[in-house]
Amino acid sequence: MKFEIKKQAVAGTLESSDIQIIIDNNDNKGIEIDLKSNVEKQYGRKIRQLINETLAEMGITDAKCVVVDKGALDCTIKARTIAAVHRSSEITSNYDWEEIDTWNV
Amino acid sequence: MLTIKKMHIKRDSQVKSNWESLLLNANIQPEKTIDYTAGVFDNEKLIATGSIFQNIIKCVAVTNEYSGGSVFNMLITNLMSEIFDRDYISCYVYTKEETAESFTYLGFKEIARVKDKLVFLEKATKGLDNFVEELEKTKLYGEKIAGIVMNANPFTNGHLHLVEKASNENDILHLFVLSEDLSDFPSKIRYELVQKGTKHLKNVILHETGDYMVSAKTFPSYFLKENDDVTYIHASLDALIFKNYIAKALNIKIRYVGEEPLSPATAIYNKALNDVFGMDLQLIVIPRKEILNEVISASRVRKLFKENEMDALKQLVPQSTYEFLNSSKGKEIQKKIIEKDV
Repeated sequence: MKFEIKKQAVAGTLESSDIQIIIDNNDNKGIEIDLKSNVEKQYGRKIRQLINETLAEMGITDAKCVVVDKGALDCTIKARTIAAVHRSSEITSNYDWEEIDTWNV
Repeated sequence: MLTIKKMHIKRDSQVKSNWESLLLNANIQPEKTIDYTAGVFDNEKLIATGSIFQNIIKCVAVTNEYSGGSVFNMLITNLMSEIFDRDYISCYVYTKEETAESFTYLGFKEIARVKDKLVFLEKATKGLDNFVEELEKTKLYGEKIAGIVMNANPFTNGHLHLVEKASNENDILHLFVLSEDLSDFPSKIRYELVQKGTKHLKNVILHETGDYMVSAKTFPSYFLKENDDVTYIHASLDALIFKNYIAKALNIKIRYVGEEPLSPATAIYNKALNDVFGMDLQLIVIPRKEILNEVISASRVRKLFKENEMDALKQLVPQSTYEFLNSSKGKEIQKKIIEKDV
């Protein structure tokens, strides 16, 4: 499945153990992640890495992400990133579950 | 058990008075310009509330015993999804100084602060930084650079007089036309009429104001009546943004405004500009141009237009505006103005 950041999209909430990811296009400026987390010092790098990896797996090379983390687990971070990219690509049905599965979520 | 749901404050007076008393207890002024309100309930008891108007979060209050995180986060999540569901791509907050920090924890960025009154924050992937960056691309170098912000609803000889004066007295004039579509004349047409009416002035650079100048975000009381205190606070906020970001980006040193004997909101706005600018920016107030002992104002033009007094109107507006008012597109707007007040 081909993904493209067409428009701004959001996934996730601001509640405890969740993460809110707002994604938008970023023409040829690479991946930019603006992260706010209450465990930034401990896990900031790991959270960025997870988002970066997930975007790379989905073939996204340019995106601006505004992220608020409230202590989300890795699986949540991946799931929210995947959901945000799907919404931004205007894919809201017929998900390719097999492909998503290969990303080890 | 905590639940969150929509509150029908406009339909149910009991709900409204609960909502108002929660806000007033938290020392927050209930505002009128609201189109969605959420409440958090502990069983039946209202313990927190927040509202939105367009993509602006406002009137947020959480009772003391529930403050400190989860209720607040639940509320803001609800308000933000409501905003994003309406296809807005950014979101703004007005809040008291004490609560501003709770919003920065949620990734909101502070834009301006009216001391002891109000903090204005935004959440956007492409926000004020982006706007300023774009604006800087239009920067020109000159000795004296001035700015004017106008709604031009529609562009009159009064506006023209103000623009000509500022254009004569300065090397460069940045002229901003409001982009908010809450006026009788749509923003595209207002912009075009300003463009046509000022094309003989070579040092005038036209801009749209976007979200950060006299918009429903920075100065809602320009469009919808609030009490004078609220209006003054909103106006100060708008003045601060102009001073700290817009003027800085373009090296504007002087702002021109028309004297305002008629509209109370604009008069308060001019006062706030004066108070906020202080020594940093010069404010020049130009007396209104008069015709037949009556000042030219856009409201007078709209009134004559509504009454179809085209001859009387002719001497109040530039030729280009007059031609538009007589065109078929102009007639459509005339019809809307007439229907609006019936």
